[in-house]
Amino acid sequence: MRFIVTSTSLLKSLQHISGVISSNTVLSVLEDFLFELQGNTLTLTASDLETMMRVKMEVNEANGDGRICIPSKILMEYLKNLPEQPMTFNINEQDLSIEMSSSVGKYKIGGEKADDFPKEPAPSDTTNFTMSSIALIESINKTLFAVSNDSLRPAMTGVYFEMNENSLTFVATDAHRLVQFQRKDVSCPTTGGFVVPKKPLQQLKGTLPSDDSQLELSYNNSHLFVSNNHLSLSCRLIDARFPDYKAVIPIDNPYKLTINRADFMSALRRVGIFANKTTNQVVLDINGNSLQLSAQDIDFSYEGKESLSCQYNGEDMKIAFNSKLMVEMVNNMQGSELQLDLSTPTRAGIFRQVEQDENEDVLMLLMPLMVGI
Amino acid sequence: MGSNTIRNNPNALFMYVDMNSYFASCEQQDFKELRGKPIGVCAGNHASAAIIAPSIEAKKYGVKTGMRLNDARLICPLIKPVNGRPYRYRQIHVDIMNILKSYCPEARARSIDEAVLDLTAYRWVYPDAKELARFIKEDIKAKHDFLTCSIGIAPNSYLSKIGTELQKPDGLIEITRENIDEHFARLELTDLTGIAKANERRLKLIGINNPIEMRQASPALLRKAFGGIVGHYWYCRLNFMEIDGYENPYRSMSTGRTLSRNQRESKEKMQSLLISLCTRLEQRLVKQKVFCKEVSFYIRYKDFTSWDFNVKFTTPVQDALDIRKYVEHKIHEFENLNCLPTIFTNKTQHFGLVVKNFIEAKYVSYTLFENKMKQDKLRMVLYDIKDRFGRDKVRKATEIISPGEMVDAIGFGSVKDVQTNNYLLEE
Repeated sequence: MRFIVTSTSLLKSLQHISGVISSNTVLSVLEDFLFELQGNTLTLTASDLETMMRVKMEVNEANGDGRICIPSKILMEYLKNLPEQPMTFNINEQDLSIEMSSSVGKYKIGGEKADDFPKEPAPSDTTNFTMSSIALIESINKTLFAVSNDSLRPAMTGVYFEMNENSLTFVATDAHRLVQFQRKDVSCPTTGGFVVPKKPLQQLKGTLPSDDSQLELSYNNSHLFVSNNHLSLSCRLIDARFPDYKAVIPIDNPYKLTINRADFMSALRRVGIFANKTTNQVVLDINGNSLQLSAQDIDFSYEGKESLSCQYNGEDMKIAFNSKLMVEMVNNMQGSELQLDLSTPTRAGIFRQVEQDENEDVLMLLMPLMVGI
Repeated sequence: MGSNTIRNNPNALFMYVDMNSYFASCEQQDFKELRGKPIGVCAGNHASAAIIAPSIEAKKYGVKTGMRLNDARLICPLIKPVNGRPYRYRQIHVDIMNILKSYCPEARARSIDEAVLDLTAYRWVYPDAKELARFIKEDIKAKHDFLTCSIGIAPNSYLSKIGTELQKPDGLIEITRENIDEHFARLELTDLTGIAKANERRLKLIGINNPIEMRQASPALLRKAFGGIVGHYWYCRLNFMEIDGYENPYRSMSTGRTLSRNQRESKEKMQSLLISLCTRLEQRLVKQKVFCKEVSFYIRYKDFTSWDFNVKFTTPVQDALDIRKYVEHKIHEFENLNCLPTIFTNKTQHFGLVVKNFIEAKYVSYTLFENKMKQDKLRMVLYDIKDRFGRDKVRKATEIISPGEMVDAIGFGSVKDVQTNNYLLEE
């Protein structure tokens, strides 16, 4: 098997899928890329047994179809240090030797048998729907930051995809905050839901094109499959029941605070610097149309206070939140203004975008800190 | 001025009280037939048991802390092994602290058998520190007639500690600016607490050969010897400045046990011990009113191999069951990854847990899905009941698999818990 490929285009394709490869694998073949040549099309695959990602590219002067596993680390390092130029791959599938030659030199490495590489799960009994690439990227961006890392609560370590006939809702939570992002421009054939782990979503976010090109999504009981013309990803779903998130979204938060998003975020960032490093507690003291943000760290005698004007409709109140979590949430919202719906200092606050895109609906929930106010 | 700063007060006065052969003396205090005999407090009385504390009589034969019982018998054939009773040492510790606090409420325990009194503010109350020391010795004798202590008096706590080392047992030494060199002349570098062989080598490399030369060395030279701020601290210590008087809050809490042969043979026994270790940490976390955000587990085997890991929690944890779940989850992950039936093999020598990254209970925020407020309150009540009515009056069902697997052990270092946990004083 022999082909010629431009070094930079090969590197770019490999970079799309290299994130799938885990740094500490048990099987050595999982440290490899699977190269499959068919005609002039080279398919590159990476897998960590849970997620498999595949990218296709065109090569020149291809001679002889074939398959081989090539060690990822050495290949990537070599390509990163090679200036743009055509390079020739000469692969002997019998003795698994790979010779890479460019205008500057010749390099040899040993590969592994393609048959040892994990097989892609068969997409049987699937439900299919489509959505635009940019919509999926946006949905991931809006929710992924709120995913938990707690291995004892596996359901929360992924994003919940909830299908309805007229919408697709993405939900993520780490038990302290919750993000619900609804896309109304996606229609799904059935209702139901599944939880997708963080890693494949991170991969998709980094590799999908930010345009309106359509993606094919299909899922069954165990896997999600995402594909477009030259890229495909399959991943195992998290086999755990997502918590009943709707039950924790307060339906009656009567007090509404509207504030400039950018001003609020920058004030929050400044005041947060003076907060206790363990709790990151910032107190929101709402008095009429004035909002005072304050934080203190008694151990170091730090104190910060800042006042902002806002529109507030409700009883004056003091409520404390974790400033780091709040900054992350506000940062992932859009529009010039945001609305905070409150009820009491011990119940969750709801953050909403004032200007919502007609096709989307964002709701973020944050539990308050209960003492020291 | 905060307590965590370097103080250079010319009127400073500290008193250090160091109980002599504490554990062994406590046993001789309670059992008169042991008095005057060489005894060694051990964990167990088998031949390879280590002597935790030899009595003054055994020390005269050359028996040292950490020596194996069969080795000790070679140099002191009459040595009598005595099983340690940690609760008793804690009870007597509390008695001694009460005596010290009756003279100086700021008396701080430095370990189970050592305490330091900052007498700076009491100089007018006690114009003669040596006389005060004699009162303290008499009071201790009145309460526990067989116990003796060495007392050091000096302008800082470090030098007062050195004072206790100069005369043992039942010593009383005052180190002043005038007589310090006279006392130091009798000492080697390694006689100074904190200077062992490695530090001695460092000092000799730059030409410091004895404590007097070390005391007279410049801060720059000592910085060079110790490679940084530690050198400056040594300069302060030996030049009457107080730098060891800080109160450090808990940064971590640890618990671990070396396994007996019987325990090593049974996976169930080791797992019961793991539960007990988690429960011990829970009890300490509850008493300190903190939750932890991180736990480490370590296990050591007889062939000197070991394995450890660290887990960070997204939600702070205090409950033993939660700590155990995280630890067991990680252990199962490791076992599956390495195709091991269990990590608790019959080669296990020691394992333990460390919790750290604390957050005060009052700052713990509650979660959207599992509101554990009630469990947290219940846990507080549970430990209150244990304190008032005895530790065995009430137990969580999760800790009763085999609660006897964890034998009480005494920590030589921190004794903060003794002040807050009444049931540590129970038999």
